[in-house]
Formats: sequence, structure tokens, C-alpha cells
Amino acid sequence: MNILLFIKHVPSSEDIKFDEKGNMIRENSQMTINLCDDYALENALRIKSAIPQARILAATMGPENAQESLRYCLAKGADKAFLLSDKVLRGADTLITSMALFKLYLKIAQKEGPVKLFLFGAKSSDGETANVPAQFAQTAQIGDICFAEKAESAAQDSITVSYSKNGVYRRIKAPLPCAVSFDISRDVILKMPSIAGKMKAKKAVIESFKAADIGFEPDFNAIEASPTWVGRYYDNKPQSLSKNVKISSIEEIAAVLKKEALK
Amino acid sequence: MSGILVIHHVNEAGALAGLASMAELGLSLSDASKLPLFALILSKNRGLPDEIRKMGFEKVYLSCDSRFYDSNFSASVCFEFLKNFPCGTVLFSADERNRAAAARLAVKMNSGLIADATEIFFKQDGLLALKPAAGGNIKAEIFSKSTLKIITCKTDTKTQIKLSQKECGIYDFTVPSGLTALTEIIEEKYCPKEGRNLEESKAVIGVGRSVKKEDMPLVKELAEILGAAIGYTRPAVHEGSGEIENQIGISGKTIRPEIYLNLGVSGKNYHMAGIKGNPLIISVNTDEKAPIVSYSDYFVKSDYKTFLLETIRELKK
Repeated sequence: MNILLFIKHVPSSEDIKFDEKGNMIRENSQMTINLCDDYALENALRIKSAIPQARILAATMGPENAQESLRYCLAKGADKAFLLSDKVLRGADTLITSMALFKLYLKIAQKEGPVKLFLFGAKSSDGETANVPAQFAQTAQIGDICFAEKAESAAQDSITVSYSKNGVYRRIKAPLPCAVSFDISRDVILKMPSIAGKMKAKKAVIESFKAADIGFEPDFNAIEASPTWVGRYYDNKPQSLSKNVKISSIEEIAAVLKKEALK
Repeated sequence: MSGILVIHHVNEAGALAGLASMAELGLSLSDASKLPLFALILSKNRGLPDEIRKMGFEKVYLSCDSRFYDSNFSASVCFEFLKNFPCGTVLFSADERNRAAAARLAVKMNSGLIADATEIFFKQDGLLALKPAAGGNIKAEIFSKSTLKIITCKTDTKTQIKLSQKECGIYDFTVPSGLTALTEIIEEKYCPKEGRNLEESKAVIGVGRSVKKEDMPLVKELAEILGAAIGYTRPAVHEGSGEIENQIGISGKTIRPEIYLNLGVSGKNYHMAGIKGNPLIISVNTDEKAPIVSYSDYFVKSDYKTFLLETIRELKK
């Protein structure tokens, strides 16, 4: 059974830079695997351990250096990795991204056989839209469970996941094929890759595709094709809270708390 | 029907949670464009509070079914609705369930989708929305040139309902036959939340990454004395100190306490953006250069544990 895990190589939250047009610069930034994607990977590994014949295929669309995050997945136990990297895909919005990922999946399926389970991180730490998993599911005409927290059980023909949101705990089951996006969860521990895993990942061959390889027309341009696009960015520093601070002692604060909170 | 449509999912928090801020956003767009504002309410149950008639909508449509938890089902119902009642702009509140339904609808309609809008403006050649990105550190302008514009919006559950003079009718939109859910709920239980409600508490203790999990009982003890709720920064949630549901900030809850006492919170934009209403801010941190200092009324240079032990002792006197 093939599990296809889509990940995103994102700037670490402390290192976000833009070019003069306001595009996020992904090259030369300190980059990492998107945090929610790491949770999706942990869940993929759980499922793999329950279904011995399961294989995890990790894939991403992004710059060449996105290979680093794919190698991280390989080091932690993914079986193969695929990269879709092409300048013409730069500026793709979520509608075009989900279409591109679907085309990438079709290409991977030609080589590796059909995929039963598509896993995603619930949202990326840079764009934070959370659009792509469900948009991919709709493009693929399959069901989705978004913002899951834990894979409870999986079989050849179904998956059961759980989440707690707004004071409600749910277990949801879906027949396969299905797309599931995973959120950060206290119930799932992120493990570090082993030394042996890192060594293996370093030597692994990552298959790389251009847009034309997966069926995009030669004149395709993601910026033109995307119905939405990003304009300028602004610093989002909240202004209204800046104050004159009083440097205090613990005793003074205890007195303030007594006066203000215990009144 | 050409206009602006608010699609609202009645969740466990009740029919009106978040709807007032959606109506406010929709009405501002409606005023600016002179386009009528409609609502489609997706609900498990039939009953709707009467206030909904006076929230400024031209018409409210109600669709009842137990399968709206499933994004494919919800998106299919919205798709059928728009076939019958075409609208140019569709607004969803950005909760987890709506996001997936909006995403699927966007693909069905081959439309652009903007997520998490906080402000929306019509422009000559399309629409512009502002959304927080990169953990709220930045705000991005997103344009849509789609004929149908679909937007999920950040809602504020504290927005007061502004009742209008005009009262509208509520009409049934029957779920067309043949639509299916692709997922199944096999267990559902309501879990009473631990601790006080973060959004309602007058005092909130904010916990940063440096606070160790094993010291949380001390934080809880102080919260108990002060009658305070406990909230967390995003890194603290990532470290596993608290639930994601109690995260304060742009990707979490917005709070309006009277007192915000924070421990080891650095004061990044994405956290501070979730603190509204100008509370008294007391910060405890070992780093006097942390950004939180400039937001604070009182700052104590101390490690959080010493502060907790001494303050609890003082308050118990």
C-alpha cells in the first residue's frame, strides 16, 4: 500500500525575507520542513508500522533546496522521495498548487503504482492557508479529513483518525483512497532521525521533475494561471500596546495582583 | 440573486457564534458595493435564534442535515445552492470545517480562494483581502481576479450583534438528493474544558516556551488563586506545555482580559496580536531585552519559578 506524503519546505519562522516585488525568498533563507508536515510524517510512520507492506513516498513542490526536507523524511523512514521544481510554478496559488500536486501524484503513480492514502500537514507555517489538502482531495475526487491529530488505525481499505476541537472529541473513519491533513498534537511525539537514517538519506536518489514532465503545457505560467496572488507584505506589529514599563520586584507585583486580581 | 453570501456552519458553540462578526464584515462589503447580503446557514438542527432575522441580511436560507461535518457534503450543498442562487462573493468563517468545505467549493467552481481574511475591499478589477501570514508576523495583501470570489474570514466570537431595524425571512434550502458524505463519524463526545475560559476570563496567565511542563502545577496553583485562565504562546504549544486550543495569538485565540500576567513570553507579534482591550500587562522574564518589555506595565526580571513560588507565598499570606 502506497502512502503519499506531501510536505513543504518553509522558511524557519525567524528568517522570513522578501524580494523587491514582495515574493517570499526561499533560497538562501534558513529553511526547514513545515512543522505540521513533520506530524503528518510521524503519523505515516505509525501507519507503516501497523501495515508492514505500506511504503511512504514523500513529495514536494518547491525550490531545489527543498531536497533537504525530503531527505529529512527519508532519514526518518520514508521509502522514496520526489521533487517537483520549476521556475514556471513559482507564484502558484493554492488552486494551482493542488492541481500541480495532483499531476505530480499521477506521475508518481505511473512509477510506483496507485496511492491509497494522501497525507499533508494541516497548514504551512508561511502561507498558513490550510487550503491545499482539501483542494487536492476535491481535484482527486476523494474524501478528506482535515486537522486530524492522530491516526488511530489504518487498514488496506480504511483509515480512522481522531481530533479534539472546540471541546468535542471525534473519531472519523474514511474509506481509502482518502486525503488526511494532520495538525500539531500533544499525543504524537516528534522523533529525531537516527544516525543510520541520516546516512541512508544522504545517499538516496531523489527523483526530480520539471513542470513539463508531469503534463503542464510548455507555455504554462503559474502566476498567470493563478486566480489569486500576493501583493505587498506589511509588518504586523501591534501598535496599540506599547507602553511605559515600570521595572518591579516580585513583592510589588504580588501587591498589584492582590489589588487588581483579588479585588 | 447577485450579491454577497455568508455561509455559516452552526457548530457546537451555537448558532450565532462567529456569525455576528461575519455579518459585520459582509455588511461593510454590502454598504461599499450596494450589493445585497444573504446568508446560508448549514445546521444539524432546525431551530435558529430569532436575532438572525435582524442581523442585516436580505434573506437567510437554512439547510438542515446531519452530514455537514463532512467537507465534501458541505461543499456539494454550497455548490448546488450557488447554482440556484448565484453570488459573486462567498464568505465562510475560517474554522477548521469551513476551511475544507471552502477549499473544495473553490475547486468545484474553479475559483480563487483567499484564506483567513481580516479585512476585505472591492477593487475595480477584483477584490483585495488582508490576511496574517508567517505566524502573524506579517500581513499580506491577497488579490483575487476570479469571477466568483471565495474567502474564509477570521471571526471574532466576541463581536456584539448589531440588530438592524429591518427584519428578514428565513427560507429552507432543501439538500438535493444524491449528495454524499465521504467520511463517517464513529465516535463523538463532548469534553468539558479544563480550567477557565480563556476568552471570558478577567485575568489570564500567559505561558511561554521556557516554562517547563513539570512546573505547570505551580502555574495552575497561581491561576487558581487569581481566578485566572491559562493561555500559551505558539512555541509553548509546540513544546507540549498546553493544548493548541488555548494558544493565544493570531493563529489562536484573541483575548480581552483586564490583567495579562505572562511568564517567559518573549512578546513576538503573532502572540501580541491576540491580546486586545488594553489590559494591565505584567511580564516576568529573565531577558530584559525581550520585545514583551515594551508592551508591559510592569516588568520583573526573574526566572518564572522563583516568581511563582514567591508570589504564591505572598498571596497566600
